[in-house]
Amino acid sequence: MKLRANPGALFTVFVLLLMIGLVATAKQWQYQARLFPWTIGIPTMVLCFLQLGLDMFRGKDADEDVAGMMDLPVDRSVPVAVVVQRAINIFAWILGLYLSIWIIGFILSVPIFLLLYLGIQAGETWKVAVTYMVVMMVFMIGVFEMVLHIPWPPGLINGPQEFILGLVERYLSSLVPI
Amino acid sequence: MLEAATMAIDNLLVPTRLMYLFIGVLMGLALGAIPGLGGLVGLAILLPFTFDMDSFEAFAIMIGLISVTSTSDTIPSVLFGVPGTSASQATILDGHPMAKKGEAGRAFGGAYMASLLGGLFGSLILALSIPVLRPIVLAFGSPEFFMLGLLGISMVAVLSGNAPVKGLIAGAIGLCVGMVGMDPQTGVLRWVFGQLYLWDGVPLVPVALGIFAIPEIVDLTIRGTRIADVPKERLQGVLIGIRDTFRNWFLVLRCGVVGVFVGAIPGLGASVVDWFAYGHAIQTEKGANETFGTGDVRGVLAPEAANNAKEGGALIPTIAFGVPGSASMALLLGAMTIQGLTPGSAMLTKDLAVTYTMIWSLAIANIFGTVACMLLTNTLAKIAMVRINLLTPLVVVIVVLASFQATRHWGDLWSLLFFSLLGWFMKRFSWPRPPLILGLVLSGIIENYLFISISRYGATWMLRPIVMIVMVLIAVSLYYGIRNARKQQELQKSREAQIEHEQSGGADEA
Repeated sequence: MKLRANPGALFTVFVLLLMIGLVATAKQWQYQARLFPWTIGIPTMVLCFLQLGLDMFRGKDADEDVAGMMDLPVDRSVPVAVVVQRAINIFAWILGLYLSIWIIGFILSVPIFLLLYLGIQAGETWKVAVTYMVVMMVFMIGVFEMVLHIPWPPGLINGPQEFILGLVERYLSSLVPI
Repeated sequence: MLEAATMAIDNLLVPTRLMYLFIGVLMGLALGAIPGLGGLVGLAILLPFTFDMDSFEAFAIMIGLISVTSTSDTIPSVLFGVPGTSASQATILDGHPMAKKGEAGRAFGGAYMASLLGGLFGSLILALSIPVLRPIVLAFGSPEFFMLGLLGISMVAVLSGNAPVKGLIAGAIGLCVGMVGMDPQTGVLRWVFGQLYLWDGVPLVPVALGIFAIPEIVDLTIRGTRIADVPKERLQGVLIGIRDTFRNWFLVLRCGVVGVFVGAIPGLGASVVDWFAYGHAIQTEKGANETFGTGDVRGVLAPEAANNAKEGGALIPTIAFGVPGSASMALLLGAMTIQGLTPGSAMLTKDLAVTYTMIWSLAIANIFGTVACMLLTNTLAKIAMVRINLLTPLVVVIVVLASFQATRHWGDLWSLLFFSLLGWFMKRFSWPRPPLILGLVLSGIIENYLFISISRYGATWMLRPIVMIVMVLIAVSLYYGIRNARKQQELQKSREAQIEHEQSGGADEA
């Protein structure tokens, strides 16, 4: 058997290190608290070493694709470089949404995210983007504010969010007959 | 028991609960028609919205959703040759050729009716199994339930892909994630890293959404095109298809049995049930070897009856033993825990009305789903053709908002991001994800059973007869899972070698 380069092995190493860390930190706990973590963690470490060996000596992941049993198939027709670039792109958009939520709050971030994603990333016309944004804004306020009464976390700059929520509240109270 | 069943139908026939059931059905139909999404993603999104519902409403909407994805997934399978969910892959073999011959309407008529009969059959078997299972479940103690939990995870781990070792590790990761937080027995804070958010454990919602919803939408976006882009054909002959179903009633019934059986075995389920039924039909139906694969309606009826019957089967171990056989059943189990219900004996005694509500929901959802599919096939086909660019931001926003619903803390959003990345890497590196969710859901329950078993019986709990039988079953499932994976890898290698040989032969001849 010869050693083969396999990026999947890096993921196995990550899982192995995670398991070692979990088992090591459990050492300081009293017996009852560490019984189950060790019952699971120690055999899993052994399995991780076994998997690492399989990754290093057997190679390709596609041989053992999870598709066809309980999971959805992975489309391997797109080149890996493109996959990585597009994945980074999407996760960057999600992080951007998080950043925006942190700065100006949920209420404004969601429509802005939809507008920018559709207009810039997806290349939709601005008409489609604005329509989509308005519909989503109504949906969000309808479901999350009026039905679920979510306490929206304040943003660093909270004025605009409070202003919109105030408008919604005034509108709703005007609907209630006195 | 009959009293509980009557009470359950009374509970369900309240307008708001029926409305929730119908909303679930509509969501399930839309998700089933969109290739690449499916019931699991929908169920994960739905989970946080059930927090404020009573248990009847929560299960009405969730069961409404999962019971009909296998009905509408026929639409892209037949029209575009793309499976709506993994349970309708075999439907393509005859459904798509039928559409090409201008018999799409007949295929739909047959598929919907077979789905309805399969779904009702699954509900019936589930209802009939309760009086049989009750004395068995009541005879089980903590050691038996502990071992059954391990059996469920190990079976799903070794069967949910061709990589049993990865499956087992994934299950263990799920169990470890489930251990985060304050240990209920000792009060020790386990792996909380100084974060107050983690004291109560990692909530199921951001993990489920991160592991399943975001990786699917990321992969669909990476692929970049619209999901299905073959133009649809005119639909004719729906009634002929319905008549076909009744003409082949015995095949539909047999495939219903296959569906219930496969659904009830942890680790099998959606992606194999249609192939089992299709294979069974080829082996048993007259002239199948010549006509199957060319547009024989029996090739549509068989998988469609089985894939709707499987939900009834899958609910049996979930409700009776707390062993979910698939990721969607694990989420349903999560919903049960959120609603304060304990799977096992309680679901067959004091909470029997809830159990029967689930059975009624399953039956009624199948009827709603079939009628809606008959009326909305053209609309659902348009949903299947939606541009992924429009879908991505919508799903991302709903997932982020749904995730925040878990505890309404920033930690939910960071958990979502961490598990999204983990889920995506797992998917790309061929690590099965269902065992992780199963491990997370079962972690607390299993640990509790282990604790009680050791405190009450010491080490002798391992010598109890049922425990020993389950131990043997675990060993057998691991052995066969590993053997099966090796066989499939060898088969794959020989196929690749054959293709290489043919290609080099062709090049030499040229």
